[in-house]
Amino acid sequence: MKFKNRIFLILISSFFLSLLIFIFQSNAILSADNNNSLQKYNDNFDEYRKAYQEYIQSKNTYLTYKTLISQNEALDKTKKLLEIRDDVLISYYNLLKEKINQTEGITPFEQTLKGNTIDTRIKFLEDHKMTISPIASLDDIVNKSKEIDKISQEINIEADKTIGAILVGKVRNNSDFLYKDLLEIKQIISDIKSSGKDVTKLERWTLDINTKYQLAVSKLDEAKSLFESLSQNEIYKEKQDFAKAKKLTTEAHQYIKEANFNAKEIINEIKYGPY
Amino acid sequence: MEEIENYIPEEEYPVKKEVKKIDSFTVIVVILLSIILFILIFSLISYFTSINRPKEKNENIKPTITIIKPSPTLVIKPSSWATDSAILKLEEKINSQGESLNSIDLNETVLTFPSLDFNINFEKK
Repeated sequence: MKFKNRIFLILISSFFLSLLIFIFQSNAILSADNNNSLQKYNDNFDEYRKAYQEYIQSKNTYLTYKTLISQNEALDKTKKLLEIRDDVLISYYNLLKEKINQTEGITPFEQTLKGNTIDTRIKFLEDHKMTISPIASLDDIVNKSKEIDKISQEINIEADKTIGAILVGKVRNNSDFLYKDLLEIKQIISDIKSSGKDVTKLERWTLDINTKYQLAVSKLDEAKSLFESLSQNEIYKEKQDFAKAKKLTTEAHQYIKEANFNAKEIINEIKYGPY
Repeated sequence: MEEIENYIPEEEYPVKKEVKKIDSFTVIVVILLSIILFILIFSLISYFTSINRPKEKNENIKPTITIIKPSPTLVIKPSSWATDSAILKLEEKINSQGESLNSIDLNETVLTFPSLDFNINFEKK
């Protein structure tokens, strides 16, 4: 091979290699951007932890010395803390909204409803954040914090309800798929039956899958109504109900898993049985 | 007479500079080299900007995946339905749903309500 040709070949290979590096790099950056909401939430939470430490320190200094300088420092640090606390809640709500929109088993109506509730909360928190900066006294900043403290239980329960909707949605999506599979299996069995084969065993197995599907659906319905009925009146009961609803969702998931495995067994039986 | 006056000796002729023609190979090599250099610089810049971003610290705890081993089946002879397209399609669907069911995260620890201090005050404990 001529020298010129060799050089040309090397250059062409390096060109494609660098192009590959570029494509790989772009994909890596793109996938990092997909986790943007979660990243922002984590970043805000890290900042909150730092701001909280600074607030505690400045509060202790103020309570010990009671000087004007320490008072001013405490005010500044508390203002910063409150602003970041609002940011954490805003990014948390954005994360919830993203999850709601990504979960396939949630109906568009429910997605819009939850999305609107979240948007209202975000607007409230943004407005609240804007009013923090002009505050000039410790009493006022404490009162400003109480505005969020008053609704903290409410937003906590709202978040639990949204998490519940996400969990139920995830499992519901799979139960819908299972239902469609069940219909197809029944159709295939009916075709085999019309060809004169004995399908008693297959029908019995299908009945088992159907029972598991029904159990899963009833557990999901129970979990959904429990998640939706969460109330702030009795916080201890709320946490208990949340745990109970979560358990019901897990049980429904387990039933669907078993039913799906049984469906696989039926397919194997049809493929390799006496039909 | 006039010809003799305008005569210039051969050694004193104005020398024409020889212009070297650049061949097409060199042009291609230069273009390719500059493209490679551009792509590499761009990739390096984007790589360094991406690694300078703060990394996600959240540990997404995933549930233990229970692998259900299929019961051993004695395969003697496939039935006439073994190659049926509807059966094969359904089998593929069921298998992919099985994978999706195993990968579901029902803990969603990342969505747990953030633990924040809402009781801000300046009172001594």
